[in-house]
Amino acid sequence: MTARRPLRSLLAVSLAALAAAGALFAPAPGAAQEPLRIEITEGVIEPMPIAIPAFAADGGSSAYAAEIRQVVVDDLAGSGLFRVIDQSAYLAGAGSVDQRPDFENWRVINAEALGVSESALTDDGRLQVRFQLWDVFGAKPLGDGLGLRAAPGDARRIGHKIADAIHLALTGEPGYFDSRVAFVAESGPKGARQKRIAIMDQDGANLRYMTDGGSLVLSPQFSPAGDSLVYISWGTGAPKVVYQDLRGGGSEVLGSFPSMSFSPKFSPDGGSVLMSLTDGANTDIYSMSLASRQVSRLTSGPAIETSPDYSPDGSQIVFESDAGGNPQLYVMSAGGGAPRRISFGEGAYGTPVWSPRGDLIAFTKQLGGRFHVGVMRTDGSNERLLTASFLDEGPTWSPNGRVLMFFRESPGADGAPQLWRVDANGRNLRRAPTPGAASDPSWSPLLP
Amino acid sequence: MSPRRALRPPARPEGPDPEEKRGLMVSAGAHVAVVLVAIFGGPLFKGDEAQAVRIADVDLITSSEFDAMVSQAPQGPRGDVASLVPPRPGEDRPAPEAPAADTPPQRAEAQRSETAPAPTRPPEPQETAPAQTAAPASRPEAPRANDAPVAPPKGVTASSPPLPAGPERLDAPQRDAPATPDAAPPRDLDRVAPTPAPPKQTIAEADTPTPATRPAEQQAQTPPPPQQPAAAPQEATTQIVTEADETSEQDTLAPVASAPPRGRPEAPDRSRAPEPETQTAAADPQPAPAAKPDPKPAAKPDPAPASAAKPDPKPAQQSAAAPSGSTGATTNAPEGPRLTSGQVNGVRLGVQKYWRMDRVTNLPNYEELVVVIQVTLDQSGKMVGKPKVVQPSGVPDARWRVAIQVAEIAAARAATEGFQLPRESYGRWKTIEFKFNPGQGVQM
Repeated sequence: MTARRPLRSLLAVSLAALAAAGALFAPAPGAAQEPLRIEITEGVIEPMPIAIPAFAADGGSSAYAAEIRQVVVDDLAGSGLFRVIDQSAYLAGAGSVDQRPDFENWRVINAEALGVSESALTDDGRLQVRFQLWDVFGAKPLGDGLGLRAAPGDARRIGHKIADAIHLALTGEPGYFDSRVAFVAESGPKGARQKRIAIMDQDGANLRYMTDGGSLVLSPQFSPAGDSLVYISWGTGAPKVVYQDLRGGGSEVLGSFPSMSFSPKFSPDGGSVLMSLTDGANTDIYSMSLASRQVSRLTSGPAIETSPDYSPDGSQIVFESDAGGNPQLYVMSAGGGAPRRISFGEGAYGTPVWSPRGDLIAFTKQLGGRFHVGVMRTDGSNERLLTASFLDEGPTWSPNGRVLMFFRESPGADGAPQLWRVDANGRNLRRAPTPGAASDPSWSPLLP
Repeated sequence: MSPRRALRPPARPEGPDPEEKRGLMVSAGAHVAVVLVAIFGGPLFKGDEAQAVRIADVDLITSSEFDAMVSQAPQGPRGDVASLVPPRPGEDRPAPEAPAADTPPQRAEAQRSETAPAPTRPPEPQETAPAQTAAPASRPEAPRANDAPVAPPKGVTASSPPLPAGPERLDAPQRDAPATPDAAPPRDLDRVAPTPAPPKQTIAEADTPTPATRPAEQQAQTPPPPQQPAAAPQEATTQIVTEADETSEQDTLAPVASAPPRGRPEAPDRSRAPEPETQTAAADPQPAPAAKPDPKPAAKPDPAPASAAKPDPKPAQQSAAAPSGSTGATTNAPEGPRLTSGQVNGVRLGVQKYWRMDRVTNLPNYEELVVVIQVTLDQSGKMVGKPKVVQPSGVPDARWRVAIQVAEIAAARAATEGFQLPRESYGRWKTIEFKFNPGQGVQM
């Protein structure tokens, strides 16, 4: 009797210890195992493969549908960000815009996005297009889709709008495809060039001349709304800033200055124009209100200040000045005041333009007999030269601040300028299509 | 008083001290518990390197029975099938019944009962998948500067162009509710045994001894016991399924209805199909129908165990679909040996090649756009279901949306293609979390 009690207690204690050990060490049934964790810090820089099947089009709209699709394909491919998979690789059609695709058909060809469109002619003869973008590997729609209606003559703009929507959905940034470029179209021998102000779509379509070539013209600049231009013309003898209303309102010389005026730039609100005015040997920056024609002087001093440009928020101005001995870049308050130098590298800096994103300033740099187009942060840091050649000059930003257009002149007696484009990261350098020699580009904002 | 009494040992004390007794019991109980934990397992005593000893069940059949089985098996397209045909009776070669050290494991499968899965079957579809490697098909053409002047597509007018009114925006397209799931419905292999296969039979005794001078030979030779039934009668199948690319020698040898074993090492597969490592279908420039069979192969003979008497579902996009035996994506699998750094790096590289980092580094403040994507894999290393966004918890803004999409695509493409990881460690890599950290990589 006495011996059983310790034995029973011993057994009880053992069982309790065992239970505790089991609870402590044994994995609970169905407990989730820890995942394997892997960090990815490197990737690739490659265009995103995207499939754009032919539109589902009714008979009357099929020709327009083909043109629209081609515009979309060219815009996306030309951006360098996308690779449109050739239609011959497609295993099936895309079906209707309202229909969920069979994603496996598109995964097989490694398409990461799929753009489905359909078009039709309305009763009043207008072209109606519907579009939907799909995430192939995620098997889900990207965005709510797009529906557009326009005159058949605006078919290309429908294509640009679709390309912009794709760009926004896949990069998080607005596109720049539905925009225009104003530039100086040049013709004739190098010593006797005829120059005309021209406007074209950013892909080279719809080219039109604004002047007849009778006067030397330079430096066209779009207004923030894209509905007017300012440029320099020697039509009255000395170079003057000319304002031209693109809505058919005619043109006029801004200010009756006795001396030269040049480097015009609109303010972000479109209400005033910056320009440089020469007074004897001195050149300073002025601002003219378009409403009142009142002129305000923003810089003073013996140095040459020119090529001003506003920041996107209109609070600051970047400009070129040789106050330091050679042309360098400075930033000052939009109302004038003490400028702050931001460029300190070797060579000469000029033609600064502030990115629409507000984060970068593009410029022309001359060093060692060569010209470069480059960018730097607004405080002057992180300077990067994107191009180099005999003569690269006059950058202008795309509406989304991702691409720069500039002109490049080839050397020699037969040398002529051409328009080129490059991404702000230095990639995707390619020529912009123009019928002949071209210089001084100015990129419009996105069209409404 | 007698002398005997004087020599009697003194009376024992009443018992141990209660305190002492309590301590004794606690100590004994703790010792017992530790011993039991050590015996039955626990994290403290788990050995990393130990591997379970696997015992194969083998049936002995006669040569004639085996020949009959082989002759009725579906003929595969490969030209080297004959090299794996077992020796005819009377030939001085190892009999097919016994697993030989120098013979492909497929031979061993031939003698296994129909309930024992064929080791090579599950991986086989994967590795005999399309010959076309899913090359980083997204290799772009290098942008080239084009010096040729390009004429604008439209004519030129001399008048001032009116401002375009712009296309009018319509309501967003109405989409029907998704009627079909994302993935194509799995395909049945349609290979169902009309009658249950006979139960697995185990070997009762070893092979008949042969001349002992060559142990391998001795192991290989087995006298045929006449009474053993066929491992998997061909009659059990109701359909003959042919594969354009993926039927292998094993298909012709092994019982059609054999199910693949769980956790077999992939060594047999490596020896057979070095090329078809990749699962994905043709790259873009190769749109030919040759790519078509890859993601949608016909039913395979392997994953249709007659013993299970059920069809093997086969997802169309998974050309190597885990057969019926390997559905363990959601169960606790044994962890097995740790992965090597090379194996982990292989997974990392597989994802890296699809992560279009520039789309993220072009965004403002991209360093903060750290995205974590979780994928679940089946035992063949392919994704089950969809990728899951672990971080961030929502989509704070458009930058995050792009960063998440880019990461999702990279994880999904890589996991759809599949990772080459050891099955015995499946428990360790069944779920993988990829942390896409653009701030730590090469800065643009």
